[in-house]
Amino acid sequence: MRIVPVIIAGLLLNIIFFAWGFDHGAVDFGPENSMYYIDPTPAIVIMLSVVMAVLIVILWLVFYLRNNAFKSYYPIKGKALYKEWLLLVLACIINCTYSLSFMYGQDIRGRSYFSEEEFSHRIDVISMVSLFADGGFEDDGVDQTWVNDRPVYKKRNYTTFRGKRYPLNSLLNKETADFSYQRDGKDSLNQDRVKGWLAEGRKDSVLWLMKEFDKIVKDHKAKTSLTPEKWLELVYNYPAFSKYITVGRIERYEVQETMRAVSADNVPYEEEVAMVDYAVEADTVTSTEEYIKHIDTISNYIRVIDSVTYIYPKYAVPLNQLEHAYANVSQSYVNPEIDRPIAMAYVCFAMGLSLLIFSFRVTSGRAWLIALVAFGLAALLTAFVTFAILEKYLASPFFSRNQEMFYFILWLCIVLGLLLYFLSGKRSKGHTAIVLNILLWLTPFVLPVLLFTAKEIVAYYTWKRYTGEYDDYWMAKHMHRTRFEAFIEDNPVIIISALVLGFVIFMYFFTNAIKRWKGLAES
Amino acid sequence: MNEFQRQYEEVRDLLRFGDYALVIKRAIDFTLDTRSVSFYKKTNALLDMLDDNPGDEVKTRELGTLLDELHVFLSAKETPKREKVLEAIHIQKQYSHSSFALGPVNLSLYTGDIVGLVGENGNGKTTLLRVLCGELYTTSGKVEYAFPHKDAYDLRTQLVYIPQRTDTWYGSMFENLVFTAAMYGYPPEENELVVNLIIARLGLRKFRSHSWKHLSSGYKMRFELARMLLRRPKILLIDEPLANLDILAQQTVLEDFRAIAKSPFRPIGIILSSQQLYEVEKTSDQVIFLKQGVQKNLHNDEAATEIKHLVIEFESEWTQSRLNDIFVANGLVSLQFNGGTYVATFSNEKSIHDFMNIAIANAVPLVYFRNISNSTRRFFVS
Repeated sequence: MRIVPVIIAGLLLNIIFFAWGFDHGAVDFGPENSMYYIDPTPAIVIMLSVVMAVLIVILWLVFYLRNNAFKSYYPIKGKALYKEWLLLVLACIINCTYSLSFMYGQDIRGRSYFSEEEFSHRIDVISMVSLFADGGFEDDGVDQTWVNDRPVYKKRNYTTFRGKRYPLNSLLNKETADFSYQRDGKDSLNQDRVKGWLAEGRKDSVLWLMKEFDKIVKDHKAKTSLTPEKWLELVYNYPAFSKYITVGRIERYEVQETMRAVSADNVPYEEEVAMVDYAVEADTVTSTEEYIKHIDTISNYIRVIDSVTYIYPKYAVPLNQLEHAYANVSQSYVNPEIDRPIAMAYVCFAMGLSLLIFSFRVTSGRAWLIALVAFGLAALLTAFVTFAILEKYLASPFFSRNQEMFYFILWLCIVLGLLLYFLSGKRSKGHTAIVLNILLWLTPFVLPVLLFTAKEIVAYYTWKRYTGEYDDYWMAKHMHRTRFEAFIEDNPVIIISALVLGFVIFMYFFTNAIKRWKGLAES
Repeated sequence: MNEFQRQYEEVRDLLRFGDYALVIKRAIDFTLDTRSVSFYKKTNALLDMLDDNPGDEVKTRELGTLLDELHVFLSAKETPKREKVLEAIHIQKQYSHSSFALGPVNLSLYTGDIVGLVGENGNGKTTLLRVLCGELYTTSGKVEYAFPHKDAYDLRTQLVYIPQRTDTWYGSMFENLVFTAAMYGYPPEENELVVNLIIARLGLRKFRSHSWKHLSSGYKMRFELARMLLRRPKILLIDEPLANLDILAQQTVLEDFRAIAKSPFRPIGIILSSQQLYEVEKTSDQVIFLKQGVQKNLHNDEAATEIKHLVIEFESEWTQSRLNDIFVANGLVSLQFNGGTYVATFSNEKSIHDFMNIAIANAVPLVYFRNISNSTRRFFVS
């Protein structure tokens, strides 16, 4: 079978792709890390992995298909055929997962910088400390109400935190950075925590936070012009926290033509009934010069270098680069390149490939080709019958997707019929080699189709009956979905794993049937 | 004296006469009969020693010692009885796309027996073999296999059919045989030992690392036999094993068939088809002649009552008419010229000596002659 060389080659290539991904997944903690660029590497990886997989498979098949014990004689060892298929699945999985290894390498690299506990602590620190640097405000001080179906805006010059009023530019109205890793409202809790320190006058806690941030900065050898003490001095102004120097989050930034700032107040207030859309034109700044007029020169310098205008915060911390870098690390935890559904998809693909090869192995090239053509023609014919001819007759009360369901059920019946035909006692093989090929290709879909059909039937008798009661189709589903459906939809990995396992068990019995079939007369 | 004792005495005689090649073959046969790993190792060690070409004295001593040990071990082993393994009852096979029909054919095969199938081309030899091995099903009649088997697959693990054109195998011969042994349940500690013994048994030791395409057809046949031996079948069906073999190779292969079939502890039934009539007849216990699919046995119960003519095949430079004039006066029934040779049929009162006397008396120039009164050769003549 030459299984050992192909597994070794496959494992080696997987290691190489993993190492490549590990290298590529390095997070840039430097100051240029937020520059946008199109990374061609993933496309190259996918292309290379496909090419390598095809080459390896072809090379392997040249040897594997040569000496075929099952075709040439009758191996006596009990489950030899089943074991051969399992080895084939293993070889196909190893050979089809090069890009998976690359992506996993990337994910592992992202998670390798710190322990998860340390990472969680760091992003909490960065998230909370971002309150004290340049950033947006939560409350814009404008309340909207509707009078006679028209929006009316009321301006307010304060915001409220824990029952107390603060100026709109207070630190207690600032937004903080959040990271995807901070699930279950952790980001909100952090924000509330740090604002609580301010409200309670806990200067030492704020200083501690800034010192923690400074440790992170030093760890990454990033540049900062502030010590924690200086930073605290610049921003801590109890109790209103509205008089502070804006600490930049980047060393400098370039003024773009498209940058805008809030200039004149174009919001129609309660006194005005003009139908002005709040969001339109309010922020329009037509030129760089106008934008520059609105820059806070207490906190920033303006410099023009080679006709390009730069804003230099007088004081800056490397918040942008750290936020960007840690956001990437966060993604490797929360939204990794590889998760279980994707891995299962690779396994399913590999299993399908193994069945294509296995069917060739146990029958013959001629039967395989005839089966391919026959299956293709049958698929086209049944599709034509279902979607063209029978369209108006498929008014089943059961399914909203009548034609698709009919097509699936038709093929389910065909497969089950072929299976019964194959398993029935015959004197000779006849055309069963062709049937066997089609069965090996299609039986993996039997359980999924059955499950899908069952789900549709249950849906019809449950939540689909209520769709007329709700404006939103999905609301009916949300309100009346059964636990059976919920389990299937919410646990794709478990379902797919169960289906795969079910098929593996089926093959144990089916390979026995194939062995018995082999003993039949040729003609 | 049982079969094993008889064969043992034979081997001892061969050793006395210094026929080491044959002795080694028989020693390997006995070793394989033991099914004992320690004997496998001993014999392999002996073979390795013999590769160094020691003197005759050493060979005699070492082989004698091994044979003694084998004798002690195998004497305690029970020899299986001769038993029927296959019976074909009135089998007929009609191809739907042609008018040719095989049968009815009846035959019984016992362990230790060799049945030869002969006949002109296209008369059903291969069809019969394929029916017997289960590749084709019968139109009527049945084939009964007298050994336990769970299903058709299990049946076919116990019988080996070697067609005339075999598959090409890739890789070295040794690797392929190890692979076959593994497929047939030989544990790892036995696998290579048994393979080496079988390779030596069939004279393939020099070719173990050769690949299939580098073997001559004779050695390919022996390679198939080696693979067959590893499978330990109950029945061997083999189609034209002697085709493409030189005369010496034919003799060797037939001798191997005899030894394999008549093994005292692992007897098998063999059915082989061939065009080499005389060689097959010498080796076989029964010969079946097929003409237009119809069976005619060489040895049957009707022989006692059948009128047996004297049939002589001979070659002469004289013309048919001249020969006819001479022989017709001496009881000639018919004289046919058949592919370069003459086949003369005389009345049943004549004997081979009468023919020789006539030929001498008339100074008939004979290149060769053969009495085919008891050969299937006579069936080829219409």
